[in-house]
Amino acid sequence: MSFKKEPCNYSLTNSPGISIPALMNYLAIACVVTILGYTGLQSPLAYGDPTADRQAMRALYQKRFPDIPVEAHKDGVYAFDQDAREQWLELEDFPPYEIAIDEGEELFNTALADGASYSDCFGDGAVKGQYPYFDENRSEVITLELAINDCRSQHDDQPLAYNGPEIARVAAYIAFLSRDQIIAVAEPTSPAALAAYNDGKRFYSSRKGQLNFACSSCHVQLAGKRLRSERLSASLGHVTHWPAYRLKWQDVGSLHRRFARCNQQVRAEPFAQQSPEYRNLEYFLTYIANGLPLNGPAIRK
Amino acid sequence: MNSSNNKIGSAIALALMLIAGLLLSACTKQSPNHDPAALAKNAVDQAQTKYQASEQAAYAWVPAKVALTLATGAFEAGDMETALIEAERATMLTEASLAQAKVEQNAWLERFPKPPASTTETREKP
Repeated sequence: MSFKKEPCNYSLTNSPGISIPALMNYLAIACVVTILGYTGLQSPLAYGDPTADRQAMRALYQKRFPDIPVEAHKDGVYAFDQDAREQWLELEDFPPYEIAIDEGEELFNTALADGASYSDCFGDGAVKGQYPYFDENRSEVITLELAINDCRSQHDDQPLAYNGPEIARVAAYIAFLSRDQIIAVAEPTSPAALAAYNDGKRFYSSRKGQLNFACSSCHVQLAGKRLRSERLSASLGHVTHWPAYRLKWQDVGSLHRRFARCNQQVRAEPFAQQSPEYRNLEYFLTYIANGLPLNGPAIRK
Repeated sequence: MNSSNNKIGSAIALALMLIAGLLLSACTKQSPNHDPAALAKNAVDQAQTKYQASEQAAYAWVPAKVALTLATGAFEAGDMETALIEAERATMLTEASLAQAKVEQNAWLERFPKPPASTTETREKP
C-alpha cells in the first residue's frame, strides 16, 4: 500500500532541532492518520450500530413524551393528541378500509396465471410481520409488496403496478390478517445488511428538497409540535399500520406512496415506490419499531 | 490645397469608420454567442446536465424539474427568451440542490439522535 504525498502541501521551514528526513516522516504519518480518519468516517461502523440507534430513538421519544408508553406510538399522532384520537376512534367504528380488505381477500384467493394462488407463497396470509427483511442471496431488502410481485412472477403472472390499487388491496388484506403480530426485524449484522440499514438511516436524517427538510426534521426535532393545524407524529409508529386509508387519498395506499408525498411536500423529487431508497428507509424504520404491534390497515388524514 | 487634402482625409476616415462599424455589426450578428437560439440551447443543455447530476446524487428538486420542463417546452416552441430564463432558473436551483447534497454527506450523521450514555452500557443482546 502506498500513500501519495501530494495531498500534504507542506513547505519546509527553518525548524531547528528537527532534521528534514524526520520532519518528512512526521508529515507522512500525519497524512496517513488523516486519510485513515477520513475513510473511518465513511465506514459503516462509524455510523453507529442498529441496537444503539433503536435505543437512542426510543430514549428520545420517552423523554419527549414521558406520559406515553413506547408501544402506544403504534397509533401515531393519535397516541398523544386526545381530540384527534376521539375523532379517529369514531372513524374506526365504520372504517372506510373495509371495502379494500374485502377486495384484497378476493384478489388473494383468485388463481394466478398457472393456477396457483397467493396462499402458495404466503400460506394463510398472516405474514406481514415477516417483512421487511434483508435477503442475503439477493443482497437487497424484501418488502411485502415486493414479495407479492415476486409471487406473481414465480407463478407466470404479470407483476402489479406498485402505485396501483390492486397491490394495495392485497397488502391490506395481508395486513389485516397480521394484526397484533409484533414487529421483530432481525438485527442487520452482515456488511450488506448493515449497508442497507445505514442507507435508510442516512436517508431518514438527510435534508432534502428546496425546503431543506429531513424526515427527522419533522418526526424527531419537531415531533409532537404543530405544523399549521396538524400535529407531527413520532417515527416509532410510522410502519405499524400500512397500507392505510388516507382521507386525502380517499383510498388505501402504501407506505412508499406516503414517503413519496413527504418528499414532494419538501419539494424534493420523490423516488419510485419499491425503489432501493424507499425499501432501505422502510427497513430502517421497521427495525427502529421492533417490539411494536402491527395494526394495519388504519385510517389517517 | 491643404483644405482639400483635409477634406479628403476626413472623408476617408469617415468611410473607414463606417466600414469598420458595418463589419463589427456583421461579425456580432454571426457570432453564436449572441444568437438567441444558440444561447437558449446552450442554457437548456447545461441545465439538463446539472439536473441529471442532482438526480444521480439523489438530491433532485421538484422546482428544478419544473423549470427545466418549462425551458425545454419553450425552446421547442421557439420561445427563446422564456427558454433562456427558465433554463437559467433550473441551473440555479440545481446548483443549490448539489450544494445541499455536498453538505448532507456528513451533516446527517450529526443530526441523528445520540444514545444516552447509560443505555450504551446496558445494550440488549441481538
